[in-house]
Amino acid sequence: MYDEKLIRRIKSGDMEALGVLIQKYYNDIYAYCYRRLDNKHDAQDVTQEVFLHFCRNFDSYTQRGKCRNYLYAVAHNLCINAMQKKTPIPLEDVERKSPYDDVAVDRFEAADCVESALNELPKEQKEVILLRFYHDFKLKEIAQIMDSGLSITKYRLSQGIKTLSKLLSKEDWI
Amino acid sequence: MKLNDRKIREDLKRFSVPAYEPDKMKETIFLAKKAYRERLLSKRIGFWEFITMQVRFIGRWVWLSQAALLIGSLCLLNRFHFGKADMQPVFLLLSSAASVIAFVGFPEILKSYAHNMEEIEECTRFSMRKLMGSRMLILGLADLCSMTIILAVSAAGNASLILRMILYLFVPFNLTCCACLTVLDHVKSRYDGYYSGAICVACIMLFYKLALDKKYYEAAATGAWIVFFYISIAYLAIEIVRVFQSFNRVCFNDETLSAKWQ
Repeated sequence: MYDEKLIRRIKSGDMEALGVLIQKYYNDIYAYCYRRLDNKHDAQDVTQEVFLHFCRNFDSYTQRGKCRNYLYAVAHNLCINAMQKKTPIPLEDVERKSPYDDVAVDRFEAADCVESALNELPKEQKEVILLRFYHDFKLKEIAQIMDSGLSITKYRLSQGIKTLSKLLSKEDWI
Repeated sequence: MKLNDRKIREDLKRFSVPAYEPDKMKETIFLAKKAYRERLLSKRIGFWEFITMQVRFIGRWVWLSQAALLIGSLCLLNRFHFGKADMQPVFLLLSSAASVIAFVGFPEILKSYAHNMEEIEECTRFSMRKLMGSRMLILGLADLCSMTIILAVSAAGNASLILRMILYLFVPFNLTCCACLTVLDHVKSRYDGYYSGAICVACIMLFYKLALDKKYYEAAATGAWIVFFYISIAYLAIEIVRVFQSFNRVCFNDETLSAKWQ
């Protein structure tokens, strides 16, 4: 069902429409939060907070842009807040994951490699890559979500792709 | 898509996300619905939002009657008025139509009161007074729109008589409204809707009868109807305020609200 129709139904007090909208976007927002926070429970909590924020501030939400973009913009801000609140883990406590341990690289390790490569990127570049390649946003939309200019978004994407290509080509598993 | 982009996309696909817990999603939906309901309860709405909300609660038959009346009047005006020197059919029509337009809305204003709904209405978000006031405003504006359209079409054929047309349209309308509002203000009964209806029918007959009398037109020309017009507008304004203020009194004086706890 189209978002505009759902929003109109929600505005008229239809609670079922609200449930449909949440079900429609829950997985996407959760995936985005997970890739940014790297923790399932944190991602689920932030996803919940995104939808609660949407409901509490429904009046301030105007049907100017797409509902999906609005939810991602909220998720972007809440992820930043969550990352700031997160207690930093001392480096010595982190078990360094190495993709070179085993010659026969299984799916899990491959995913781990990509994750490591993404984590090597600066935060902004990582986010542009996530929104562009995992969530299929246009550059203009990414700029709106991240509240930044179009040219800087283009620059971040090209830099991100370059760095990521280098990092991934270093790995033998590709 | 560039080759580089495609390759990156394929590589990135390997980074899969673990499935979320379905219970967590259910919890999110539940909490979101709760948050939305709480927002609705604490939300302050604007005047026009309140009015547009109330428009939906006015019965369809009122709008259909109003539309039928307007279309009927315009058809009759078109048939009798254009290209004829004799204005009597037009004046006759205008005078009768004005009272009928007033007649359509009154039972709707008293709907909640006539159906013993005042206790329920008082318990809800908007008081009975606000509801009645909003209905009076909506139906009043709809009546004014209808009459303006009739007046504009009538005046299109003969603009020199527009002042007289205003008098023939608004004096019967104002007087009918004044009579009905006087009943609402002074007679506190559940049958006020019927009384108002009876008054409207009497007014329609009276103005129809008067319209057939030639002196009626002369009176308009001499200015007697201008005096009537101003007096009726002043009285109407006073009655609207009095009726609006009396709605709470009407509700709380009723025996249904005076029942004691056993």
